[in-house]
Amino acid sequence: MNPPEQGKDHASAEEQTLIVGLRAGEGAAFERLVRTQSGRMLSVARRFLVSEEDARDAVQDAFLSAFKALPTFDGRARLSTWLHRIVVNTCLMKLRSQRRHPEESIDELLPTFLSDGHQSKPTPRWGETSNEVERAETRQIIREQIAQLAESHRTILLLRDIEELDTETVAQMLDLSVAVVKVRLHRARQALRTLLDPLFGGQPPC
Amino acid sequence: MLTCKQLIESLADYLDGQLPLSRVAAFKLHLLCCDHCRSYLHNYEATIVASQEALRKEEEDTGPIEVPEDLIQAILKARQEP
Repeated sequence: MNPPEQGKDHASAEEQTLIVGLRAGEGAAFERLVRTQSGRMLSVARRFLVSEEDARDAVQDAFLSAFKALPTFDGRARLSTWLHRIVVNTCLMKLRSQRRHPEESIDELLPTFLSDGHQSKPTPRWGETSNEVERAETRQIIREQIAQLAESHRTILLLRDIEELDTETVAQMLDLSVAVVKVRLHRARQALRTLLDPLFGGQPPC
Repeated sequence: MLTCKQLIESLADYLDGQLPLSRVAAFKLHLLCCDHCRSYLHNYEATIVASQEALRKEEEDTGPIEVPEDLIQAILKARQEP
C-alpha cells in the first residue's frame, strides 16, 4: 500500500490518547478522528469512484466499518494507514456491487504494429520528465489523465502502481485472474503513456 | 529475434523481473538494436514514476481536502444509530 505518512508506523502519544478515547466510546474522539482523517479518505475515494456521491458514500461506509473494527485495531499501524486500507477496500466493494457500464475502448491509446511486428509509428523519446513533474501544474494534469482511464483499467493501475500491491493480491481483491490483472495493468500504463505524450513531448529517438 | 510487438507486450513482466531468463537476452538484444523500443521503454517507465509522483503529492498540491460538513455530520450520526 501507499498509505500516508509511510515510515512513521509507531503511533504518537497523541494518537495513543485518541485511540484510548475511541475505545472508551468518547464522542469527541470520534469527531476528531472523522475531522482529521476524512479529507484524505475522500481524496482516495475520488480516485477510485468517479461519482462524488459514491465517493462520499464510500468514506461514510469506511468509517462505519472502522468503528465496528476498532476493538480489533492492534495499534501496530497508524490510524491513518489503517483507515486508508479500509477506504480502498470499501471503494472496491462499491465498484464490485455497481452494475457495470459499457466502457469506452482504450484500444486507440495503445501502440499499433505492422504485420511484421515493428511499431507502425516511431515513438518519440520523452526528455527528462523529473523536472517537469516537479511542477504542481504538471502533476495536476497527470492526475486528470489518470482519471480519464476506463474504470476497469484505472482501478488496477491505482492498486498496482500507486497502492503498490502485488499482482496476486490485486487479483484476489478484484476476483480476477492474475493474467487479466497483468494485461489490464500493462494496457492502462500504455494508455496513460499515450495520454501524457502531449505533456512530455517527444524528442527524436536517440 | 523478438519483434517490437513481442518486446512491448512483455515490458511489464520485464520490469517486474518476471520475464523468463530465456527471453531476457532476446529482450535486451532487441533493445540494443531498436531506438523506438528504447524510447518506448523509457516513456513507459517515466509514466509509472510520474503517476506515482502526481498522486503522492496530491495533498501538497491541493492543500487539505475540505470535507463537506454534512458528510461529517452524517458519519457521526450513523455511528450513534443502532
